[in-house]
Amino acid sequence: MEKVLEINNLKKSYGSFEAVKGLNFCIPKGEIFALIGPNGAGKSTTLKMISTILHPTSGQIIIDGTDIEKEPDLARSKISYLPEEVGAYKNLSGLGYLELMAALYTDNPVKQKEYVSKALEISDLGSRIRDKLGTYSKGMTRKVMLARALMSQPKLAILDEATSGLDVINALEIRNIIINYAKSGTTVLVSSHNMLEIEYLSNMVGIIDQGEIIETGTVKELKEKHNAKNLEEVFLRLKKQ
Amino acid sequence: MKKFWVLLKKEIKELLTPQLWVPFLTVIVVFFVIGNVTSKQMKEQESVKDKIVIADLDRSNLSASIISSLEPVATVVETDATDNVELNIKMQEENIQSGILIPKGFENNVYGGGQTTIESYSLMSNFSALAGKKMIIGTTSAALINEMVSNTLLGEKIGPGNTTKLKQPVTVKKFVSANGIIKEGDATQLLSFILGQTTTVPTVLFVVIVMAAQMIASAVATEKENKTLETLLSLPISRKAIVASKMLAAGFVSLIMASLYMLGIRNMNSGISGMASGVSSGENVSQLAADLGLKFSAFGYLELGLILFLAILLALSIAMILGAFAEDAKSAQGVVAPLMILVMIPYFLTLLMDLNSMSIGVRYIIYSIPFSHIFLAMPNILTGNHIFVLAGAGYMLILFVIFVLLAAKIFSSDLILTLKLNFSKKK
Ligand SMILES: Nc1ncnc2c1ncn2[C@@H]1O[C@H](COP(=O)(O)OP(=O)(O)OP(=O)(O)O)[C@@H](O)[C@H]1O
Ligand SMILES: [Mg+2]
Repeated sequence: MEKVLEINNLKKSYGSFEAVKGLNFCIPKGEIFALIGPNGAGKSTTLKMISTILHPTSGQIIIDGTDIEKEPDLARSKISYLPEEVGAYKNLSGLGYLELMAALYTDNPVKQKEYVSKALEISDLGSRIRDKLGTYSKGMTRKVMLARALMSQPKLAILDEATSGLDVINALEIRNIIINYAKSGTTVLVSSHNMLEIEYLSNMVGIIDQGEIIETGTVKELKEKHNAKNLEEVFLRLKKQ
Repeated sequence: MKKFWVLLKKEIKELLTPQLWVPFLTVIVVFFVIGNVTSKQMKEQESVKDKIVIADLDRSNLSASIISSLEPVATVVETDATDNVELNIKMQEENIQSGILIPKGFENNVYGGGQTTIESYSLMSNFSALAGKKMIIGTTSAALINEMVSNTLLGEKIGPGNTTKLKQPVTVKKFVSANGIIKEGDATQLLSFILGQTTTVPTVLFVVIVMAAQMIASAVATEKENKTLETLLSLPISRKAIVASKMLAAGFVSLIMASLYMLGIRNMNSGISGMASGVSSGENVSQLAADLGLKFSAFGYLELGLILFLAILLALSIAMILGAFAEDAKSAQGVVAPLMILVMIPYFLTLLMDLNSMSIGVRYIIYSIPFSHIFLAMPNILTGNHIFVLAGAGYMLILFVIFVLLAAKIFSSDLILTLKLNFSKKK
């Protein structure tokens, strides 16, 4: 089994506060892995470290065989990162933004075109894609951002709270986009504090609480092991122990 | 009505944030410091009499008594110079702005009823408000000499019967010297002409630097605030490219702003000076400045351009780092306050004071503020002090490199995302 992401004893402190306390997990190729846990558990911190924008206090992150501390530039060419609640350059049109980002991913104009058309397909905004980003609704913005993150067909897509703040229909749409995407070979790491929703998206989950992973496995395994109806119950049982 | 007061209170609270009052307070402190320094210097200047160099080529009783009677108003430095060139060298050596030459045959002319002329010299080595004040002693002394000669003639009841000649027995010929060249001309007019030029550029630059700094700091802060920066940082682009592109863009925009401003102000100034002095005298003064070498050569413009460019780059690199401390666009205004102080202090001090008359300690503190060299550049270029100008440029270049590296370091570490200034929550 080929591992796209491998994390060894990953720690992160903000000053004297230890936000992430020694994480270990790995994600096989083509998998959608969900890091779930309550607010403040350390999900975003972990995802930022994997995205190379925060340096780990200690520990190791290996993306597709590349140690991100040793070769950050190579690692960055293999990933894409969607921050939670990311804003947009409000004066750009959706299309303009996608073209800009494509040009930042690659110098090759043929590939840039490919990326943009892929992104247009994912975002599916029709003629509104030519409007300014500032006029978009939350769901529309999120779709453009997701399209940006997926258009380059990265080895690993890191999506922080991919569906947060979206209505049922938009959330469903985005989940379907991600699932289809994983089928085409991209490995996906998502985070969510919504433990119920994540069952529809991912097969493998890691439950994180107060900076520590308290359980990992497939959704099915965890529910059977803890004799629970859903992941929320699994979490509550784990907390009681 | 109650609801209105609740709203009003909320609005005031929101406005009176540290982001607002910290820069405001710093500006006040800067004004306070500048006021103190200048008033202290002015007092020192006032308590000592201004100096004047006098070359007495006549060596007569009359000239000697005239010189000694100048003592109450000025500190007279006598020289045994034999001509005006030597007199000017002496003025330069002693760093005295005014000099008077009493020509041979002065006494004979006075008593003989012939035309009596003395020569007044002004040395242009410094172009501050204070320099203008120092030059006045030349005019005062010349007037005093005239009065004394007039009194002597009246007392002795000799000389021409003509009353105007009795009142105005001495003609003063005015000369200006700079860069070792001596030309006939009026120093006060020349000084205001040069001040018009040398204060325009610094004023524009002052405005542009402050605007550019705020521009880049809020650009960084805005990207931090809406997290587009996080996206940028995760892309396969080098961090140096991110820092460099932001800085070059702001540098480019501020250069355009600076040029437009300068064009505008030049236009306005030429309009104003045309109105005030009439075109012909304006041209005379401009010719005088050119004759004395007090006009910019091609090399001078090059030096000035270099200084301006470096100053903007340096300000941008510092503002970029300061911007990293801001959490949102609103607080970006506040974090550039330290930079504004570094620009304001030398701006006002050089405008008001003559650095050469300050104590060495104060002078070196001013030299060590990199932005002083913007304001010191023009007078030093005009007086041919190129080594000083280029040294200032070198100093700014070194600091620029240091701050750019520091900015790149911050952008490639956690600091860009985790740095913040918290005025209120200091434990
Ligand atoms: N820049 C920072 N400085 C100090 N502490 C921080 C910083 N960023 C995060 N933290 C702290 O680290 C902990 C983990 O934060 P993180 O954002 O990773 O949580 P999260 O799991 O993503 O939560 P949420 O579901 O609310 O997004 C929190 O206690 C948070 O307060
Ligand atoms: Mg989070």
